[in-house]
Amino acid sequence: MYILAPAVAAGAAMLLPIVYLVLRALEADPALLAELVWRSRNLQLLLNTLALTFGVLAVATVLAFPLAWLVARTDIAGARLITILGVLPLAVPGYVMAYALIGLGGNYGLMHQVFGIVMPRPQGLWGAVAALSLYTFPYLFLNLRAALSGMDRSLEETARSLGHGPWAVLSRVTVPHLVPALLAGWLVIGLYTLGDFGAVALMRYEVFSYAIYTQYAAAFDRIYAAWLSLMLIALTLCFVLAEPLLFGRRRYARVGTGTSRPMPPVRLGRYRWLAYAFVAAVFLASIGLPVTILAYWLTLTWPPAGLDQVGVVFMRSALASAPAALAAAVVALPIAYLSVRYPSLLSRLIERAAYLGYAIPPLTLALAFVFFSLRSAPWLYQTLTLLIIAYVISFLALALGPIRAALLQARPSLEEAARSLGYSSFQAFVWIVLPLVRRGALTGMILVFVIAMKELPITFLLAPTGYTTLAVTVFSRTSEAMLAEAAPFAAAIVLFSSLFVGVLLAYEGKR
Amino acid sequence: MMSPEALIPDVLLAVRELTKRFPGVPRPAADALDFEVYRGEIFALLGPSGCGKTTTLRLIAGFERPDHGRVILDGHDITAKPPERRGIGIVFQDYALFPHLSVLDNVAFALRGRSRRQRREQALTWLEFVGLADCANRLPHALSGGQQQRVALARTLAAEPGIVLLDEPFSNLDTALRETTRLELRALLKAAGTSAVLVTHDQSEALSVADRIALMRHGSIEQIGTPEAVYRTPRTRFAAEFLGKTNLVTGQAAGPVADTAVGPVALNERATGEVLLSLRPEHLDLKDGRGKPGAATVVTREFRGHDLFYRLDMDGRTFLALTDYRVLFEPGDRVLLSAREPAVVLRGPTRDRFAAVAPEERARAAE
Repeated sequence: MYILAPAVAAGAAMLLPIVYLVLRALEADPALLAELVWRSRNLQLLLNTLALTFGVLAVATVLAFPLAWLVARTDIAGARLITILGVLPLAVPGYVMAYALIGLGGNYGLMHQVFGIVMPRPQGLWGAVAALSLYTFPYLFLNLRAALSGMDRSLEETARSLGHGPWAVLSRVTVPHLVPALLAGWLVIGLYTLGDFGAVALMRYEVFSYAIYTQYAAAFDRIYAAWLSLMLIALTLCFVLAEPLLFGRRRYARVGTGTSRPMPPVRLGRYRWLAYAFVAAVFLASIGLPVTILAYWLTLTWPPAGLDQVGVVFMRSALASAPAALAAAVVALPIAYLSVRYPSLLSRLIERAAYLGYAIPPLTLALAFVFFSLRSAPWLYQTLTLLIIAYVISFLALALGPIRAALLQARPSLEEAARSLGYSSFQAFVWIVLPLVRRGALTGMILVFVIAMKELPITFLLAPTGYTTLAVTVFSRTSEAMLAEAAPFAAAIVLFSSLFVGVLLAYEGKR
Repeated sequence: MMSPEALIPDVLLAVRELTKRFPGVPRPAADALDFEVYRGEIFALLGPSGCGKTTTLRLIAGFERPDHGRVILDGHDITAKPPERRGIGIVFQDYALFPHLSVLDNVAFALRGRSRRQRREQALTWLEFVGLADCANRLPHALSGGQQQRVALARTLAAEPGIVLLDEPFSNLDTALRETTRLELRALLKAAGTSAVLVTHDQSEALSVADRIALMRHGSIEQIGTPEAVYRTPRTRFAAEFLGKTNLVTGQAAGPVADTAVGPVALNERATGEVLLSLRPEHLDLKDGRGKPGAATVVTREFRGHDLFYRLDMDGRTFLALTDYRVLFEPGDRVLLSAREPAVVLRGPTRDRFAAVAPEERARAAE
């Protein structure tokens, strides 16, 4: 009971934002409503959003698949280093990547100032695709690498012995086994792209999230903003629901027992240099570019204006992120416990609701919280508390994952053993369950903390007036073309986010 | 009604009409179970998987709530008590050692309400009792399966429970380890003077460890008795087949003997009319039957060192025979079968004793 109540409350809280968006959207009178929904601009936004999403998915796949294959299946030297470099771009958020691309072109850009080449500032669809795919491809890389290296050698060998040639094996055995990894990676990247606000805004590419922002901030048309948000959520849900539909009920885990044998590596031979050239090109674009641009702008006007503020702004980010991380772990614990120990329809629904918070585009989530606080809790509007609550709802799923995994390893017989030794169920939870999930909870907290540190749209809309964090500073200065002034803050984010990558790699390594 | 456990002083645990149904499962996991465990004895619940024996154990421990019935420990009704207030210890199938605590701390965990020093001292005493004092500072995963089991037992005993429950204690051990561990476990339980209820699906485990066994099937108890009694005189066909190998033979009974395919055999009790009999393979004798009517053919012979195991065919019916090393026949030989011991008259799977007796009564009524 002491587990059920907080879990139900948290699950209900997750649904709050959507309820408020719907309420706000329904304020429109019917005539206006029809006009809003059937506006031809919506169709253009939809086409733009889809073009951006599929563009990012395609480019990310082209970057991630060869890289994963090289690391997992060939004798390429330095596979461990390539893996780390392949994950490192996650430290460069989309808006910083956009900042780097913007800093490359134009009159005052690196290309013109250093090389004398006049290059237009990247913008629009291709600018946004480049920024987002260079940032997000590691998610797909990690999934594909795990799938490729975890595949059982005897599967391919059995197919060969049954008379299938190498190409038939690739298409009938290897690729089908990569489908879950591809879909999982695509889902994460797709959700991120749909929800991204910073990169598309800086690249001035009109997709749903950017339009929602301009409606809200510039036009003050909140009903239209609410409708656009609902459309974006609907589109997101299509992506989320498409995954199980494509995945079906097939299983790709090993059936039966016996140890699996790893694959023998493919010899690259004379294609070795081609492989190295590809790896070098990917890393020059994804890591080399932002680091160079940041260094360029930093040294251009050293010491850059506002360098002394970096510490204060960093602390502001941390002061909002740390409580959010702690709260997310505290809320995730009963939800994970309920779903692992007492699986039922209710516990599944609560868990789904937690993942829904992650799937809702952060900008619409923030907007929903603006509506909620203005209507029902004006005392919360523009407070740090509201910002933290929004963080928790948006990132709860990140804390849930590691805690759930840790709980799955703690068998129920451990608690029952404690009870048979005379401990109450609450004492058994404190003495046995908590120590066992400590590491998982810590991992979850770090994940939430670091991702909240670089979060942009929620912070942008919900932070108290004047409470500028690292992300908000980078975004607002870049959008006003103050690239040099944005550089130290962007550099701080990149340095700090490398920590996130470190945690991710440590977490990866344990599995 | 006066409770019978009040009359028999040495009943420790009594289970009365214990019933448990799980939603969505048509047959109850425990169906009006009734049995007693005596003070100081090792009692085994034996049955095939899914017969409800583990559910019964969890009902006794308090991890499941019964739909009906009572659990009485030492004269007190504990049916409504939570597990931590029952004074019942349990050793789980996976031993459930706390992975974040050392072996010593695992045992000390059971010693509540004492000073830290006292707890460590007593935990060490218990580890000495199971012969693992030198492993005190290791973590559980550094121990072998047999050692983990002994730590789990030490931890359970340290809480000084009224009775110890053991859920499939040997299923996580290597086959080679099982036989020595059985004797060890029995010796430890007897040395501690503890009463225990053991759940197992392995008949040889139950026969060698337990003082008494309860054979379970479909949530109810088929037969209770000492291992020897249940093996020698199984009450039902299921009991006869589950405990060891047997030959099921139909026959026409007339008082102390019955006419069967292997000729007239003596019965363990008087019966009349058609009966189902159990004849253990080691109770069959083989003699040279060349050219004689009613002979069986040897199908296979399995040489097992100290004895021989024959599979025989008689007009399409299979018989099993276990003979000593001197009785040598080859596959294809014709042999005559005879029973050395009385055959056991089996009853239907229900508790209905009249199934086999009914024809006799009918005959008497007709007179």
